Amino acid sequence: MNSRLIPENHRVTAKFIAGEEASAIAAAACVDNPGAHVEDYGSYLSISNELRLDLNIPTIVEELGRPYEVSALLVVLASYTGQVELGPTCLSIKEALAN
Amino acid sequence: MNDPQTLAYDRVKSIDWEPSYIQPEQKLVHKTRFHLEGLKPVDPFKTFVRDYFKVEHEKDNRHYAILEASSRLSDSTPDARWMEGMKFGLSNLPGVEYAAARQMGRMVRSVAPMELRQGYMMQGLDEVRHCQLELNTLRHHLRSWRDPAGYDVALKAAGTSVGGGIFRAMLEDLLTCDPVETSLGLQMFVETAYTNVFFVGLSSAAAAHGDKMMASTMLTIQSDEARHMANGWATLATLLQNDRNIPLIQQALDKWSWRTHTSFSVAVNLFTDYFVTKRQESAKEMNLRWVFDEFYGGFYQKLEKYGIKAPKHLDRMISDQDYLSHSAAIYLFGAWPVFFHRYDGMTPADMEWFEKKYPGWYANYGSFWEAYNRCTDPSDQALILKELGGLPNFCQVCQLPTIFPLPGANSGRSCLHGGQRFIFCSTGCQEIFFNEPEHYQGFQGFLDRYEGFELSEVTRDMGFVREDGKTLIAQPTLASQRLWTLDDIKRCDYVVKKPPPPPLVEAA
Repeated sequence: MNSRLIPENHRVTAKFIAGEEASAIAAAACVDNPGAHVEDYGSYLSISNELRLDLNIPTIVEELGRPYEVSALLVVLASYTGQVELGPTCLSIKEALAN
Repeated sequence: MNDPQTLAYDRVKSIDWEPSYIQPEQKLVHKTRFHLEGLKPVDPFKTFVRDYFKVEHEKDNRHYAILEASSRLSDSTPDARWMEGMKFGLSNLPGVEYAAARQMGRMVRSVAPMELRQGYMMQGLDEVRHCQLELNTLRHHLRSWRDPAGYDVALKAAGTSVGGGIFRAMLEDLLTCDPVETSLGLQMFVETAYTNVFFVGLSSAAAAHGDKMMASTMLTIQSDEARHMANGWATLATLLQNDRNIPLIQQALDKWSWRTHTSFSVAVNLFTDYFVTKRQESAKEMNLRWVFDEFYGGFYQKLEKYGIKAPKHLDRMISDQDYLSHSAAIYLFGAWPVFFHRYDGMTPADMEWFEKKYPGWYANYGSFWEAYNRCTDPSDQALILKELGGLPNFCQVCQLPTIFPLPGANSGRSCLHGGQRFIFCSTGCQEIFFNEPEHYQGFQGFLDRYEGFELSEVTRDMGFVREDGKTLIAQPTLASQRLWTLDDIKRCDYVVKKPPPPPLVEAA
C-alpha cells in the first residue's frame, strides 16, 4: 500500500445493536477473548480484538441467563470488520485475507 | 468442516440445475468481463432460506414494536435541526434501496456461481425490506413531526432535487456497469466502507437527537448489510483465484473508491457535521475510524499480496476529510430555496466546535456563515445564493458541484470530447469519464434543466411549496416569524445561469 497515512492493522470488530443481548454478548466476548475491548456508542456496542473474535453461545447463555442461538446473534449484529464464520454454537470473526 | 449445517447446506446446493429450455448463454442476461469460470465460490454465511426468513421476521418484530411504541408515546421531543435535515437525508434512501434490489436481480441473472446467486437473491429481498422500513419512517415523521412539509414531497424530491442528483448519478452507474463490477462497487465500497459509517455510526446521532425511529431503522438495516458485506467479500475472494482478474479488479476498485467518496462520503460527512446539535465525533474522526482505519487499513491493505494497489486517489480522499462536509454545506445552505427542508445556520458554539475539530475552519468558511446568518429575514431581500455569486458548475460524472476541496481553490476542470465540452470536479471523475465516455456523456443535470429560470419559478416547478401555494417548504432558519414566499424570492431577482466553465485540460 503506497499511502503512508494508513497503517495496516490486524484488528477484527463486531458491532451489536444496543440492548440486553448486546450487553451479554459483550460480557461473554471478554470472557472468551482475553484482550477484547468493548466501547459503548449509545445505540450500539463495538467489540474489538486482535486477529480473531469468538462469540460462543454457551458463554452468552451463561451471561444472558436464558437459551440463545447463533441465528439470534444475526438479529443484533449490526456490522463487523473481518471475515465471518458461522458454526453451530459459535460466530467467529477472523482477520480478512489473513492467509 | 463436517458440521451438520455445512453438510445440509452442501446437500441443498447440489439441487441446482441447468434449464433445458434455453441455451446456457441465454441464462445469463448480461455478460461480464471478469473471469468466473471454474472458480470455487466462497459463501461464509451458509444461510438457508427458511433461516433467513426466521431471522428477518424477528428483526421486523423488534423494529416495528419501536415504531408502534414511538407512535403511541411521545416520550421525547426530537431535535429540530436533525429532523429538518432528515427530510433531505431520508428522502434519498428508499430510491437507493430500490435500485440496490434491482441490481441484485440483475446480478442473480448475470453471475453464474450458485453460492453467489444465493447471497444476491437474499440481498435483493433485504433491499425491498429496507425500502419499506425507510418509507415507514418517512410516514412516521410525516405524521409526528411538528412541521411535516417536506416529508410529504420527499420521495418525489429524491427524483428531482439538485442534491439527490448525486445519489441518482451513482445508482444509475451501478445499475448499468458490468454486473460483477456492481458487486465490487455496491457490496465492497457502498455497503462495507460507507453504509457502516452511515447506518451504524450515524445511528448514535439519531438516538442522541431523539429520533429513535431513525436510529432503529438504521441499525436493523445495517444488520442485513453485514450479510451484504459478506456477499462482496465472497465475490472478491472468488475473483482473486484467477490472476487474469487482477487488473480488472484494480480498475473497478480505483473507480468505485472515488465514486463512493464523491457520493456517500459527502452525504455522511454533511449529515454528521451539519445536521446535529448534540455533537459527538466529527465526520472526519468517524471516517478516519470506520473507512480509513477499519476498511482500508483492516481489509483493503490485505489485498496487496494479490497484486492489488492502493486506490489511485487515496491520498486525496484522506486530505478531503478536512473540507468535504464544509464545502458541501456551503452548497446545500447556499441553494436553500431549491430544497425542501428548513435550515439551521451555524451558531457561535457550532463555529467554535468546528474550529476545534478542523483547525483553520473559520478562515475558510467563517465568512460564509456570517453572511448566511445575515440573509435569513425575507424583509431584507438578501439571498445568500446571490451573495455567493450564483450556482457553481456540476461534475458530468458524480454531479457534485465543482467546489471541492475548497470553493475558492477547487479541482474543477473541463475537457473536450467529440467536439463537446464536459466539466469534471476532479482528476478522479475525469479519468472515470474517459474510461467509458459513452456511459456518462448523455447525463443532464440541474443547469441543463433550469438555465434561464427565475429562482421562484424553479421552486414552483419542483413543487417545493407549502399548502397555501405561495410559501416555500424550505426556510433558511428554524424559527422565522415570517416565512419566505415565492414573491420574496422573486423580489431578489436571481436568474439561474451557467457559470463560466473551469479551465480546459488535456483529456488524457
